[in-house]
Amino acid sequence: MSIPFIRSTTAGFALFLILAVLSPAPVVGQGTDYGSVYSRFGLGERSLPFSPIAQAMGGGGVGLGGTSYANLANPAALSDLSLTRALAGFRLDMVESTDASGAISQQTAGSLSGFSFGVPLIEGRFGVAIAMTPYTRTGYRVQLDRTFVPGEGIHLSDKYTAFFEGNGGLDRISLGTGYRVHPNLSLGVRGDFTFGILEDVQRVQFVDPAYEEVRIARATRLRGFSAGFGAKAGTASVIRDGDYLSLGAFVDTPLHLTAERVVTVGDSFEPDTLGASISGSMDLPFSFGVGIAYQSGVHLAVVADALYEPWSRFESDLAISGMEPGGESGMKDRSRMSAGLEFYPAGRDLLAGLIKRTAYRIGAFVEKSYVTPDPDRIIRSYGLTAGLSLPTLFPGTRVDINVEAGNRGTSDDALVQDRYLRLGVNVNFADRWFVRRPLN
Amino acid sequence: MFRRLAVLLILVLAGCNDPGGVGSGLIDTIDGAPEVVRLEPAALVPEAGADITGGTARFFAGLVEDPDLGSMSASAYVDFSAPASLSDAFRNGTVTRATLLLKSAFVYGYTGTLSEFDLRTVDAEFIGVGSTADSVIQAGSIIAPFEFTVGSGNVEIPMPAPWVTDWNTALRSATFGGSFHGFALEPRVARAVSGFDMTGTVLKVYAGGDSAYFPALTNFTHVEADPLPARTDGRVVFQDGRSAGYRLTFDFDDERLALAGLARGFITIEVDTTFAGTTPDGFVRPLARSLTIDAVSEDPPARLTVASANLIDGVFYLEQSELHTIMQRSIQGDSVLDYFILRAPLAENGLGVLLLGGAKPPTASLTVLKAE
Repeated sequence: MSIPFIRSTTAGFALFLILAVLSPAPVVGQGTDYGSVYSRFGLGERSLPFSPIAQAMGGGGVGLGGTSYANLANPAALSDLSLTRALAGFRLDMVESTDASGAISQQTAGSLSGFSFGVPLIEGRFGVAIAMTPYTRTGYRVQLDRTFVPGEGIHLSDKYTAFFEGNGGLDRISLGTGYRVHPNLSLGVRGDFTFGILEDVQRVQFVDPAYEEVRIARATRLRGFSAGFGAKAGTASVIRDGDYLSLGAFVDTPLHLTAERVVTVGDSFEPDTLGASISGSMDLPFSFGVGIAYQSGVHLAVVADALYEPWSRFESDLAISGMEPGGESGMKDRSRMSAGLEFYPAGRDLLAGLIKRTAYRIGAFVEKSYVTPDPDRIIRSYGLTAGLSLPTLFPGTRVDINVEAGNRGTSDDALVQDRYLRLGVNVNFADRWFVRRPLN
Repeated sequence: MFRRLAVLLILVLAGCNDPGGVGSGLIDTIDGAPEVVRLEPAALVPEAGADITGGTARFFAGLVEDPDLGSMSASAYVDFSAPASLSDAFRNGTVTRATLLLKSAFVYGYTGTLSEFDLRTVDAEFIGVGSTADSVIQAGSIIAPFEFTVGSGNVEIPMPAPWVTDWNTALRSATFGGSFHGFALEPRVARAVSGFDMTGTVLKVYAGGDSAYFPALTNFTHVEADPLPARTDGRVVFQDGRSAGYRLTFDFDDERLALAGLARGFITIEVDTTFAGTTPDGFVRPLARSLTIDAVSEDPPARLTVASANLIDGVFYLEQSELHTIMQRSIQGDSVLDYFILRAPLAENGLGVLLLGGAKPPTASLTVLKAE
């Protein structure tokens, strides 16, 4: 007789889990710092699937196997899990924005980039995973120095500074499972609960002390359920012996979000509600992605991905920046293409040195944003990614360091050109759970 | 490229935020501009009841016939307290004389005329604070008549010897406050109402070779007057002491204030300052130099003073943090405010007049930021 039990003994693993689980939800994907003004529009800046490997290889990875992390973007890949995986990451974003006048602003934001936890119920065949990741992120701040006509009364100054700030975003809790139905085919399904608060703040500070600072916040609380389906097929020895080609695809169902909007005045600690709260809903489009991954032996992997989301079908009965219900809409169909490469010099040589056991990744992407401030213009992004996956003393556990340098938008007309640098540090723990220890 | 990345990296690590105005072209900045919204009350409605004339900074006594506003009669009631300490010589001596000193502060009517009064006892303790001008206090027997020329300065009334003898013991005892309840100043013949400051009005008592000042403790002025006349030009007359004030009701539900945050709010009261001066020769009709505004709730009943202001160039600017708070809450729709009452302040009361309204009605000026 044998008894299933948990064999995890590393204090780091336990501490990691505790910290990740106890992390308050709003922290994930959100921060009080600021980033691109483009995140003011729509529901905020769309986040990429939480995967340090994919993010270092252009941001795709739909066709990638799930042996080294819980790939919930394509739940079919969860069937590849052979070790219990826990992944958490932190990221720093620096954005330098330029407008047509040549003026420059610089902003930084730091946040937890997500958490995922995957368990192989049947090693290499049946896996489940749960994750909490950002879906969108809003963080911007624009500051303007102006004058106004104060009217009668005693005035020392007519100057004021207006601030437009946004923070918050949508987070997603996902629970998925993947099953290998055939040696060459895996299928997966995922349920998502998407929730969060988008907050836009107008703030005015006056030079004249007779005027009090006014802060008006418009907070929209959103929540809704959706599902995702994925498939992954692969075959070995396509071009030469030892290689492996896999194709992956996923479809996320449209997402219906219920919304409640509250406008408040006053500081952020004790705001007073202005008017009654407004209820509404938003309907987000489906998402479809395909990816291909080719592994030439154990040293080299190449991926390419494409993503499509018809945001022109987005509907909302609450006005958001970039879309007025029944009015002009800046919502556009989102598309994204990426490609990347991973080089792992050591291959299966577990005794190789640190340099050889480090995985080196590069990638590139182009993206057409789902929302634009100017309906006549499309906001495009492109960038380069790179990353290192460093081995640790714990087998299977790695520290992934990613960097992404990109460009978003243009400084033509009233638009803004963002040049950004994103740093990510992720810890990917691996351990063997639920193994049966034979009793003597 | 590497240089730019290096700069970005340094800024990231430094946590630098320099938002600036980049991106302003993507925002409808009209949303972020403060607006001034002006509200005018539908009407100035006279507040029912009488003005509070008890526990005020000044008290009044006299008779006047105002050619524009009609007649007014004012009787004053003033109580005194014992000094904080008395010398042994005073306590052990005998009161030889006492003088009532009235600190003159105000004239309404003909200056230079002779006013004649009766100085009476007040035989029972009276409550000054909060008493209205129509309250009645029973005065006792006449102590002595006295007279003075209006506008000639402070008034000194020597207390008659019998009164001094009667109060010899009480004036030197520790229980003076329990046995003495003040004086009443009742006008007999006068062509003016005189006002006196509480501060500086004393009963000076001499005993044992020493003297002591018994300061005025509380007061009340009973006023009987003709109703303020109605005018045909849409304006209204306000007179401190005769009028309990005017109600102002502003429409804070105005759509211009929907989803607005208040940066500054004040109420402007413009007055016709020439009205006070249109009087016969020798007749003084002072302007009311200060105004106070109360916020009133009927359910639950509550009244709170939210601002006071002095007259500057013919305008009162009523602006205070309490008024700001009431206005903001009214905009939000979570205030119990029903109306404001414009009145004279108790701390600087007089019988001053104002001519309000007409082409320049009171106005609430609200500088607001509206939600997008």
